[in-house]
Amino acid sequence: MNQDRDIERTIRDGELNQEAKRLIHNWCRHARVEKFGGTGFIEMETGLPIGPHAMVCDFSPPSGMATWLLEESAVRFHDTHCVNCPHRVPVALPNLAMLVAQRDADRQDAQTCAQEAERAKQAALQARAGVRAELRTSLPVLAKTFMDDLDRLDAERDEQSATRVVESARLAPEILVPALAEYLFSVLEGDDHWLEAAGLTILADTSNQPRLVRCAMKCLRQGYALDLAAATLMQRLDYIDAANVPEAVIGLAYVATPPRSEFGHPHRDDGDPSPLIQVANRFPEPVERGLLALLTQRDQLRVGVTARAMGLLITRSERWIRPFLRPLAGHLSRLNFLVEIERDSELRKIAHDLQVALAGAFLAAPDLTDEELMRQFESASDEGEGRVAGVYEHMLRLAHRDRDALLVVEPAYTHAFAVVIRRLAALSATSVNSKVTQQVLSAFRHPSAALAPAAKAAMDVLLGTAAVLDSKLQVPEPDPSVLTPPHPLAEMEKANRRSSLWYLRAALLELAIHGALADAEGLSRFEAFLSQRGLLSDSFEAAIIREIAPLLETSAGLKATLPYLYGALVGATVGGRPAAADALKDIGSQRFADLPDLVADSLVLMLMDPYVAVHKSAVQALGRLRLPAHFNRLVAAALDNLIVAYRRDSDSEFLLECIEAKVSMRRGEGPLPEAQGQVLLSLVAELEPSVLLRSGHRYFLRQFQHLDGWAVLVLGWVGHCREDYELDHALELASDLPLGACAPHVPAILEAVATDPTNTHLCGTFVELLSRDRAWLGAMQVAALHMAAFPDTVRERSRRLQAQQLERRIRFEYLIGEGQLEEALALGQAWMQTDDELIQLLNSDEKFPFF
Amino acid sequence: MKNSLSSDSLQPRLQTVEALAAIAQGQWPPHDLKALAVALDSVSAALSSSAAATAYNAFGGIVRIVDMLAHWRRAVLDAQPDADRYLRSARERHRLWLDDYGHSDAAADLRAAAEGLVTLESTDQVADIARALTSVPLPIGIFAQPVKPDWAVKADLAAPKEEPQVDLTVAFLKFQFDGKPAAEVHQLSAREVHDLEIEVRVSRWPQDKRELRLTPISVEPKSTYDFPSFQFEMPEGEAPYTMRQSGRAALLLPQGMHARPFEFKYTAEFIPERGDQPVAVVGHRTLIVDGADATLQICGYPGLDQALFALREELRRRPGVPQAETADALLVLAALCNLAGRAVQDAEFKGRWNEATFQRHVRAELRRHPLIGADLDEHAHAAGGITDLSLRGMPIELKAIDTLISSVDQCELFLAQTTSYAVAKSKRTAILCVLDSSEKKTAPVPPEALLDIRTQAQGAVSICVLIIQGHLARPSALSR
Repeated sequence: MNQDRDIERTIRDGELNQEAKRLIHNWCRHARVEKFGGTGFIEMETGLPIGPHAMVCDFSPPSGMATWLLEESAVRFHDTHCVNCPHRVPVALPNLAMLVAQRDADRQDAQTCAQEAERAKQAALQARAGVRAELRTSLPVLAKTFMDDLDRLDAERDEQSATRVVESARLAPEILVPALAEYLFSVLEGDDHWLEAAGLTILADTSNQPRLVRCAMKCLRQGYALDLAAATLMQRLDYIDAANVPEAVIGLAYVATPPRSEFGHPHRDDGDPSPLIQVANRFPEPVERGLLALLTQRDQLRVGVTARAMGLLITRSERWIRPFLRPLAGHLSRLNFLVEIERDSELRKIAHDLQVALAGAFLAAPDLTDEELMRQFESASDEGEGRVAGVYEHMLRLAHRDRDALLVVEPAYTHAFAVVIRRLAALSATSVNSKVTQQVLSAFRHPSAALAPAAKAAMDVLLGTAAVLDSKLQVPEPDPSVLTPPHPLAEMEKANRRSSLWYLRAALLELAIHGALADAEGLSRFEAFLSQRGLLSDSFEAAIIREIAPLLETSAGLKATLPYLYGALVGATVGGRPAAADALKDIGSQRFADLPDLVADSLVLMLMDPYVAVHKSAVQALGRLRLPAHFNRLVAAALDNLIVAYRRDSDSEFLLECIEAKVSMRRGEGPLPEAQGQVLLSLVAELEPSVLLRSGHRYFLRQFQHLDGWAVLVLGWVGHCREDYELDHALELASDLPLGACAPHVPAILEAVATDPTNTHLCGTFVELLSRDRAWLGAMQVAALHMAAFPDTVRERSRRLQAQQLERRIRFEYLIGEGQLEEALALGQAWMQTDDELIQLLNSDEKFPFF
Repeated sequence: MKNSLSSDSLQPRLQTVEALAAIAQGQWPPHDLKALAVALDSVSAALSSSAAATAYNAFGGIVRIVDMLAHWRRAVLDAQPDADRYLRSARERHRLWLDDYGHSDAAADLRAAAEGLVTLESTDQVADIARALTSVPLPIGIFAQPVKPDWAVKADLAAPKEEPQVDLTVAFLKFQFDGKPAAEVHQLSAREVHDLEIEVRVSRWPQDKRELRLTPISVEPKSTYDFPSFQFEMPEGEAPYTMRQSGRAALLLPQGMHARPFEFKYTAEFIPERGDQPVAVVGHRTLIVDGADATLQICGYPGLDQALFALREELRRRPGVPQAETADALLVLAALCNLAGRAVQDAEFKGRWNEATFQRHVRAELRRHPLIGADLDEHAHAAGGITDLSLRGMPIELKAIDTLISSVDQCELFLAQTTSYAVAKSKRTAILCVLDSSEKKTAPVPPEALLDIRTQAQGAVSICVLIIQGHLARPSALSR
């Protein structure tokens, strides 16, 4: 598996970190390693320290940085803090000194190599200068100055020197005497690469144009001054020797489609395709040979450039489809064998380039490309199949992009997209390869409205394939053997396969419904299919109904599908009722108000349905829809029943949904009445804080904030948070507590703060709240706890000072309130002085040698 | 995670306290109060705690007022011309300040400290006010209001401006069938074509929309009805617009007695459908059309049939009641109404009857009905009592009394018992049938006058009350 490459590398890095950790611990008793960020799967499985780690110590300030390879952080830390440290207590050998010695040796080697290279460079420069000095004797006076400028350019290789040389030749072309021109050509034709850009420019008007073109071809072949060489070639097509073209194509391809930037936003106009296209039009055979030869190379950069260039040519003319289609498809399916790749990211990049090129071919010749891709698919590995399916996925993604959407909606391309949809649908039913399934799911996820005509054309296939998938889903799983217990991984894979089938069925139906939205014909075709409902299986009917929501957005769609939706809503099948509720959930309250009251009536009856799936989906739908007021009493009674039934159940999420639905029924009717509120509050209090403190409940829980007991409850949650996000949500709820609600609960607040007194967010929030409620002593106690949490070490000094400033800040207001003005002003001055000290400390902490 | 406020935020607070302390001692403040007020305002704007932000903002306002007072004291002492202008300014500013913070909890302490301004007469009192203000602690704001990063602000500026929110268009609908306004439940003969006229009043017409389309929506299969869609071109003139159009409507199949009526809603949308142009339909939102044959005989007595039709509509209008329960009630009522009709026509209940005999009679009567038969239970237990009869859980309470009953209201005292049986069996419908076997001295009342519905348990339970007239006088006896 290709993914193993990244995993193996990560494990290797973890082992290096493990070793670095041991060396750090042996180095000094005070040194330790701190981890930043979360813990990944590989780290959990192997127990190795993977991810950003940093070396720290209590006798050093908290400067420095965490690095992926711990040894980098450790060596930097050593250089900054450990040299001449009086506190160091060595533990054992080997220790960090080994890494430092290794680093010093590497540094020494690098310096030696650099000196060697510099010596060689100087010798070569001297040799070239000697040649020029000899030539200089035979040149006229003016040309001698030019030779001085060439010397400078050779020595300094900067823009300014190049401009001087080029402009001299432009202003005084007479200095280019034959001997000098011959010298310039000889440099361009030689192995020293310092004059390419200037030389091609200076010699642009030379009488020996064929020789200039040969030089430009050489530049393109070897990768020097590519843009200039390509432009030179483009202007002198008549002088091109066809025999040189195949080797020069790499340069032209690079100019036309340079690699995407790692960080910048890829833009279409990054390259200049004109030279490649003009040369290809003039010399199609050599260009074809050149590109095909390049594609056979194992270098990933060359293959990527070639694939992009081929894609570019294919989009310009159908002439290139036949020669390039099979090599491109073949490369895509066997990429991991044909190209040398170290990282998965590189593989993905080349695969993307190949997929883009093949998508271009697909738009121009859909049937031919489809046939070729399927030929390659048959002989491809699992990974290869996934990549080939990626071409189809890429095609559908074109419809999502604004810049391509216009292209997609053109009727001429409807056939191509219909072929794509049919093929993906067929793959979803025939392939068991998870890579292919992922591509199909990704392709069909959130289908664009632009695809509607193609989806309409392929509606029969989509619906039929969905039915096939449904029948696969209905096949009963064989009973597990009683002799050998099922392997957990095998069980997980089985579950994954089933969920993939489920999602594929949903995706196919969603796309078919998009096809029904294309026009009246699409809608009537879909309606004709729906009218066979009695012949379809219950689960398939439910699956169709679940995806029907987009059709309800238009009046025509609503008119056509409402009878079926209602039929499912009141039908006898247990799967159909929740599916109908799920579909209604997504239509919004405004559209829901357009539906006959019978629909709302049925939804309310579902609340009393004994089947768990049915009443659960009804509650979820009610959470999003607003029913007519005359249903309120009935809904409230039904929700009460559900709350009673689920109160001691393990499904606390659903209980919370019921409570939320109950509270949201009163939208716009003012605060919850005390009696009802207290009942709901006591139910909420029974739930696990982790359930309540997930995101999305803040608005609903705020409805309780005026009730007695709410503040104590929230403060209790703050003390029981296990995750950072839970604490953030709990503190948001605490911040919402009304004025005066915190002052009576100082002991509970101190208890909550004591769970993590170093947390500035936690302590700061309660200081704010207690000072708002004028509970100054309580606020000072919180700040004192915060300050005491930081030991008086060099490392924690800045944080301790910050905590101390917080404590002084509160004491300042407290003294003012007590009328002790003199003491308050003195404290304020002390605060200001410490603030200056703190700023200096933080500034010095930031001064850390990164490299 | 929130960002902590910059450490500079304490400086204006500290300097203001120093300045107020100097004023309290009769000195000129060491810092420029106007500049400090501006700094306090900016601290206030940066705070995320609303209480602290309000307090700092109010404090800034007070500092501006004290600045005027300090100027007033100096101008008076230096005998400058028109020194009172500072005092007038301070009083006016205080009045405006009270408008803003007169009811703010966060500024309550500051309000109390500045009370001296109301009775300010001499420059001595300026020091008192300043002293009072130096003893007011302010809530502490630690976290800063989240500020959008530069790149997000730039992105916002570069982003295309959102189209202004469209106003909701309201379409008011009125319907007429065959020239008559549509009733709440409109009777329409099936398999006949009827004129359907629609009147639409539209509050506004979006500029880019050509047409308004009204489409009938129903949960019924399309093969059972044919109602027209209406399309209106954009009218000329100013909104609101009133438009009318006619079409043909037909119910393609008749309904049975127990079937619920057809329910249609007309949805309105502007064409072309691009963009978000919501239309709220008001007025006659729901069109309920009954295609059942009103001349259909249910119990064989036309007056009682009509009363049963009316009762059926009332039973159906209740939300959340299963259709089967309503059908059961109508099934029993049809049989009992037949009995009530026969009781008057044939004087079937002669002499006095007790409840047990009446119950045996009714039980036999109902069991004869093929759709009831074995489903009728007798003496089922509910709510600690025993129901007389019940059909699939729906209680049928029977009473035989020998006092004259001339109206359904006189059965009020039996309703609570019937309701408790219904509630105990989780039913929303019950039947109370009372046999009046008192000796009659007058002619019987029309039986349909003694059939009605009553609601109990805050409207949750509907009780159909039927009174059967027994022990009738011989008509010839009435002439004597």
